[in-house]
Amino acid sequence: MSDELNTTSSHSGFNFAYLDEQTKRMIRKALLKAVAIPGHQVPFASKEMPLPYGWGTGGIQVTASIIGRDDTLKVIDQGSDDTVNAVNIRKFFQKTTGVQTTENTEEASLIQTRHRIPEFPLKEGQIMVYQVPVPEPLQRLEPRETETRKMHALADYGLMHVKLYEDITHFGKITSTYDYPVLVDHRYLSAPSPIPKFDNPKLHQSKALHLFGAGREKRIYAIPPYTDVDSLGFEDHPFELQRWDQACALCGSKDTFLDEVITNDEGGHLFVCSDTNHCQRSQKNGAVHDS
Amino acid sequence: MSMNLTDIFPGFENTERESQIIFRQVLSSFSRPGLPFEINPRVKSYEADPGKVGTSLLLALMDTGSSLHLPGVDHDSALRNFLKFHTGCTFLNSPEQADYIWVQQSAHLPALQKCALGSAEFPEASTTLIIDVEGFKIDANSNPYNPWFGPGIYGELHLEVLGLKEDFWIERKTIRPLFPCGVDVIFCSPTHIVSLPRSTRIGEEACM
Amino acid sequence: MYVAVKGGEKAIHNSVQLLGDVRRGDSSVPELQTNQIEQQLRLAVAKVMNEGALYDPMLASLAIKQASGDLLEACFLLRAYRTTLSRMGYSLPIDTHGMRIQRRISATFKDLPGGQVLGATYDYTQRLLDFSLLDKHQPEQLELSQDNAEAMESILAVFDQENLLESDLPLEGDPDPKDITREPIHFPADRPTRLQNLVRSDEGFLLGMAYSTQRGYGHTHPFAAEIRFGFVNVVIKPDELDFCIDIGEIEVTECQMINQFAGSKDIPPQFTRGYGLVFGHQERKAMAMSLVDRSLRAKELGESIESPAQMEEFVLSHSDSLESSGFVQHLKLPHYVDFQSELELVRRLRQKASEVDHNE
Repeated sequence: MSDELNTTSSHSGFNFAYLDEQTKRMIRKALLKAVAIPGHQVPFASKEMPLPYGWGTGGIQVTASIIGRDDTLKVIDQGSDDTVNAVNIRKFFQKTTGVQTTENTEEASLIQTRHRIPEFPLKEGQIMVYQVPVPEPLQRLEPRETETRKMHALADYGLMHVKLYEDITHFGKITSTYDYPVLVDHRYLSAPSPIPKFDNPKLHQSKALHLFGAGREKRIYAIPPYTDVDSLGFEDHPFELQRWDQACALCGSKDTFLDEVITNDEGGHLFVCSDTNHCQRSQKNGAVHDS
Repeated sequence: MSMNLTDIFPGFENTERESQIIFRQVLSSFSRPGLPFEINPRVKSYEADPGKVGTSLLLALMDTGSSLHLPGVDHDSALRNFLKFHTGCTFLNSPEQADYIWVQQSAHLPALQKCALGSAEFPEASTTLIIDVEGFKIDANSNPYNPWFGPGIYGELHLEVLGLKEDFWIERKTIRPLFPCGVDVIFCSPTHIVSLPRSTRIGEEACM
Repeated sequence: MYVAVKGGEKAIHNSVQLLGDVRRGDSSVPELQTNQIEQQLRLAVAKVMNEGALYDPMLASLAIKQASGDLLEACFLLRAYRTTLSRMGYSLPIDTHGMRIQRRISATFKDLPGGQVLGATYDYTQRLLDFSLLDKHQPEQLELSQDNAEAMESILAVFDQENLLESDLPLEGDPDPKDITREPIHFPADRPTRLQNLVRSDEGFLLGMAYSTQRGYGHTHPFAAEIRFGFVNVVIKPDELDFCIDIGEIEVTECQMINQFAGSKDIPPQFTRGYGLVFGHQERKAMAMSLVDRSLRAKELGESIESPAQMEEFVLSHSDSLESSGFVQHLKLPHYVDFQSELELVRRLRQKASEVDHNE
């Protein structure tokens, strides 16, 4: 197999995108089956990566298995391109692939994300890769995989419905605000990763492909484009979107997800867009500054 | 198995790069059932081989743990030696537990129920069925096995797969209710692929 | 005016520079050499090779140096390096019966063929800090010959003649064990799979689980039938050749525990086994492993499962220090978006609660 020797990237002495060819193939196989069975968690033999388990190794392995020289990569964490985790992961891929990177959502062909979906609408051909800490939506209700596997096999999600119902009884509303469970293609209960529920609607009939990687828990799953994704709710307590009374202090937006920033030691605070790239572009387009 | 190493054709010029390109096309194809995607490069397994899409797919996708069933292909054929050398796969004589099955002639298409369909708890442990066909006719209203709709399909689409025996559609309809168990199919024309994952509905009632 | 903070990349760069500095410490003190670690911190090296899942004392020493002595961090470095290595093949199973013994003891017999060989161990020392080690000193040249290492028959082979001990047989059909680094574990897992997980598991976690079985959280009455430490050969038999090739030797520690077993309606009373095997000299780990191995065989032996150390999914899902450390420490990553969602919810719930109060 002499052409195996051609695989090293001149940058770092490692294979292109770090992973060896056999590992990539193993992950790719899992990805294809995941796309064929939307929302179903496919087990895979996760590898130790240069970042710790729990810090995005699943997302990194998925990206590393699919990325090519023609891709343009964007990496975000909590909506920002500049947090240390996003910077670290972007540098990892720059070092091991030499691929073009960007902060602009619409220029990216591949977007790896932790906990947010960009505000700018995704388009056909784009691929989102999610870092997932807990792929099993039922884990906090039933930690044993031997049991949850059976529930998924039988589409028996009574446990989750009971939990949501109990929330309503105690608090008057469903209290999940992130990683809000969804039903994919009317069949599999899935964890959309800890994105705020505000982002859930973006998954429904999306133009892009959504791939989910959980390295520590060793699961991969997928939501193809143009797939029905329904956030759980009841007829009399349907799924509710988050709303803010405030607007973004930097660009004035009233329809994006806002982060709270503490500004002084008297508890003063203001709100700014979580999606930093979107905010910067809105500002450039002449939105209002707050001073 | 004894094979003369000098008889084995080279595979990809750059395995890592070309496998990735082909994989992305397959991933896009699974994500958008019914749409054609070109496969390049198309490698030759022996001198007279024009370079088939199926060969390239298997060369790009299989790993050393993969099992392959090649109905109608001789045990000591150039194709088998080629695939064994380049991928380290194992060969099976029947479809039941095959990770991959490549059907180059319609007559050799195994009964879909005989392929590995997975189980309710492990539906992914199932065959990816690669079938050579003559071509595709898009928006064709002529054949009754339409429309296609479901995940990856915007609205619905109409497609005719040329050179595929009708048994296939009948059998697929029979096993569809077994979802999430099933097989995932990749049709190969001389230059393109079209995927039919098990999630696609064909001519069914809009589901709920 | 609020300006969004940028500069994450520079902050990371500075942090890494600072780390290099801090790791080196006072530059007037001689730099630590990896061969010093390999020679004089050999038990740390053993732990790192074992939980790093890679037998290479030099690399393990390097990892320890790079990690400033944080052994879990060093294990992580070694495992990540392991991921990049291509796999040539599998060796034949190592033959611990033929081990060239450096230490071999048994608690079940006062004396045994070959004798109790104490070897070099901390077991018989008194734990008094030895301040003479603060100075450099020339060690006495001992007359002891290293060539003492010879093979000794396992005591269990001898003991077994009364058929009081369950046989140690492979699974039916002797299938190849699953390689857990290539296929994910499914529950329920068979014993070979469980043992693989236990070998590379975190010593502290395993020790706690083992201890719990001795304190009533489990039913075993364990005895250390034999613990041995020494050299074993690594042998390969390549496909193309018809004979074996010795490619070198490694040091391993093996522990065979035997446990009382009252029997069930299908199986007569007999002693049952627990097994531990680790790279390097790590008796505590090998012993803990053998206790937990036995504990996890509860189902197979018809024992009721009541304690955490008997619960396969619980033990095997939490045994890997890379996973546990990674996930516990991931809480340091930004979580302000999730937190924001929670903040918003709690505010609304409180608001609603106070409205209700007003109305009452």
